Amino acid sequence: MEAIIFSIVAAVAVVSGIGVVIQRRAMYSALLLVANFFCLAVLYILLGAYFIAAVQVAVYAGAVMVLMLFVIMLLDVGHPEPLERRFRPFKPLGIVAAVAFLTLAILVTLNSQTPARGGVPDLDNITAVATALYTRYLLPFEVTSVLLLAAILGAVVIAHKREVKGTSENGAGRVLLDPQRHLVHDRDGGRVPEKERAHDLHVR
Amino acid sequence: MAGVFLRKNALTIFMSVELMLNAVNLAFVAFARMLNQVDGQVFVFFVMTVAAAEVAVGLAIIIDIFRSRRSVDVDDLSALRG
Repeated sequence: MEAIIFSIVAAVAVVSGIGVVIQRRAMYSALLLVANFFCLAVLYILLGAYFIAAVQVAVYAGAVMVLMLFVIMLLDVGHPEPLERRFRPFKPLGIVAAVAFLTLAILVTLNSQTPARGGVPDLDNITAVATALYTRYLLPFEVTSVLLLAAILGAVVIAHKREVKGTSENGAGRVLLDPQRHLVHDRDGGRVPEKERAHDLHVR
Repeated sequence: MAGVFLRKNALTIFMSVELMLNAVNLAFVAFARMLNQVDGQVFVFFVMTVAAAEVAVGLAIIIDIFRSRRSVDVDDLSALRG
């Protein structure tokens, strides 16, 4: 049984990993990367590393990929079709999936009489990891927290729009103060739409 | 895993880096299992933390580059070429 699961999951992981590299569009490779992460989480569970599997799903498949997708959608590199038309064929599929999930959730909620804390399988692994983490590796652990803090600050500082710049791009000699409008203006490749420009003039 | 060298889109390169880190993580966990030690898993934990930090900073840099150049094509970034 384990061998079957392993071979299936490993095959999916390899295929999706190759797909990430081969795929032309960033969005598709991101979604394939999510699939790959989940496969890796299953592999970790098979290897008995429950804690790492949970962290894999939470950190990678959750946080990192959401950040990644966010940036991909924000920058959206070269999509000729608008998003809505591309997703239209999948609409019935989405409805079916939503209804299936809802019924499943309701059934599970109604039928679960056993208490959740009944049989937690094999906590030894997690305790072992925690013991090692908080005793032998305590110093690296704390250094990691400092690293995360530095990363947060660095990301904010780098991604933050520089306000003081002397001249703005449309040569008006002043920086647009509204960040929303500045973003729109930026995305448009320097060309300010007619309405925006009128609005700008009005503001000035 | 050599997708880093083949792609031009900075975001795809980033995802390839993530993929490589995950491959290393898998190797770590497999060896930890084989040697019956927990140190490998602790190390995977640290690798994940560093990867998360790297993603945050890297994406910020990509956004900044996109703002100033309107492209995430790494071939456009030849300002440091001699």
